[in-house]
Amino acid sequence: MRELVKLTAVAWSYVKVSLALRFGFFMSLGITLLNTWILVNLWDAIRQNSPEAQAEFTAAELATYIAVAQVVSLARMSHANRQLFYKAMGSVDSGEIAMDLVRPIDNQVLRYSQWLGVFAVDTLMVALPTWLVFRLTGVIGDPDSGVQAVLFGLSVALGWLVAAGFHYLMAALTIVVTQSPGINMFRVAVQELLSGGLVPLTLLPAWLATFAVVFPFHAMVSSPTLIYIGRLEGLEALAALGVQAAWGVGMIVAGRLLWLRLVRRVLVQGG
Amino acid sequence: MSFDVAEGEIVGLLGPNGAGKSTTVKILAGVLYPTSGDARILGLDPFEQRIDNARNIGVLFGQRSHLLWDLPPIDAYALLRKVYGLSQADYEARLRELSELLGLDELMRQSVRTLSLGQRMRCELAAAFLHRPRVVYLDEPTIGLDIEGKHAIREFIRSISREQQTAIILTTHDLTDIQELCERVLVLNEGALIYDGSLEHLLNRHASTRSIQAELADGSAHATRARLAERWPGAAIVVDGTRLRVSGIGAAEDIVSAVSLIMETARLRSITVLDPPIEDVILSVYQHGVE
Repeated sequence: MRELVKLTAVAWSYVKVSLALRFGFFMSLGITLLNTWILVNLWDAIRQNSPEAQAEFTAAELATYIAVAQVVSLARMSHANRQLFYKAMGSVDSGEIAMDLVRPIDNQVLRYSQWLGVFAVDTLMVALPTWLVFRLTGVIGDPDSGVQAVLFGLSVALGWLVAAGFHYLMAALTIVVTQSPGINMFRVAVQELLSGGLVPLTLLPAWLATFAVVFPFHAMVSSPTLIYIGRLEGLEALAALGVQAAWGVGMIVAGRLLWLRLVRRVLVQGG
Repeated sequence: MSFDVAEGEIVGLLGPNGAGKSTTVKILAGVLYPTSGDARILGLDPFEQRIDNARNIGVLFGQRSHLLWDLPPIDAYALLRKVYGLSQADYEARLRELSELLGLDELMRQSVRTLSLGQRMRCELAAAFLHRPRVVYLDEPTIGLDIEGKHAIREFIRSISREQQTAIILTTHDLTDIQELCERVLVLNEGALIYDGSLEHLLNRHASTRSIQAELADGSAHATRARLAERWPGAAIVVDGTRLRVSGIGAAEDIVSAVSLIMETARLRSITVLDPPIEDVILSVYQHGVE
């Protein structure tokens, strides 16, 4: 209970920090809208010349997939998101980790709650407006039913949990590899591609798609997006939620073990 | 190194760059894992029992911040209240008390990014002391501040340690901080504790660098110099008109004897025994160890 109070307090603080960066949010929204529009049109052009893509998706389905995946994208480099990741990943380089360690709060709770606050604001200020613009312009449709919409919402939340776990593992690794910009670039590249944020995983080369499905990446964006467009329904959708939940819990356990192992190696140079 | 710190004590940690001051503080704060040896803060292992230890300690690292850069300090305090589990009533009372001591009334509602360094440091101190820690580590708390800012912070530290019996370990390169706040100093060099005792005692042990300055009212300067030179052949004695300056006499007893000898030989307008500048003493300790 006490940890929950701390979690909500930190998350709320980061909601306020994020809201203080209003100009950044307008920029993020503009960039996300532009990116999404480019990707939707790019994939439409690719589909027209790809029999495999035509067999897999109708034009409307593919456009919806791409736009919704961009809305859901947890690798989105929004202003607040980027600031937070740079802070978390650079905290070992900068020595800021010292301030995290002198407070009576579990490091995992601290990081997850910071990201939760930023995710909440990012969803309200960037994701929902992006969805609304593409919905109103007819690029994307609605989920087939209310149940499907609820399952989509749950899947987005679980996708966030998996992504937060992945981010935490990457941030913990900076204790060993003190090159946080390199790790962050790796994180963004891998997550954007293998989560299904840029393209449906079925359109990736088979070996890469297998890699994305065997590892937790598909649980971040692909699963909720496939639920939205109705490719995963009923029991299949519930099974996908179960897999996401399992990965979410697994990542929490993995993150905890990694942190306990690595925290002894933290070096904070200078004053 | 091995040392204990009592409740209500303000201990200064001194040493040249790289001596191990910050490392010591970080081990005591639970930030770093010691490769050997152990530490206990109020009976707790600061690293293995990090979260319990964190409830008892307050930290101010001069180059790091408790505050949220884009928000007013009051938001960071509200967050810390939840993190440390303070009741609303206790939090409000404590914040009122700290606000009075540090003059934060208006500051804590301004965005941190608009505060000057001195104002921010006062707000940082409030964050470090908000949860009534029993042990506080202050690393360079007055770095970069003007005279007024330094004075305000020293007053605050002195008052809170005295009234609330908070143990404070102070790391600083500003020796005035040490002189004004610490009765006890720990001097570190190359990771070893080379002195643990009072600042006054350290200065006394280096009394050989004390000097005497006298203004004579008669023409006896050269006669006085001759008598001093006869008694202390190694001393440096300079006569400038009616002014006499003597250094290199030696131990404290000899200083007293030299003053007596000058008073017997000459008629005086004034006489002063000058302590060596503390910087010189500390530099000598760093370079040659404790005498």
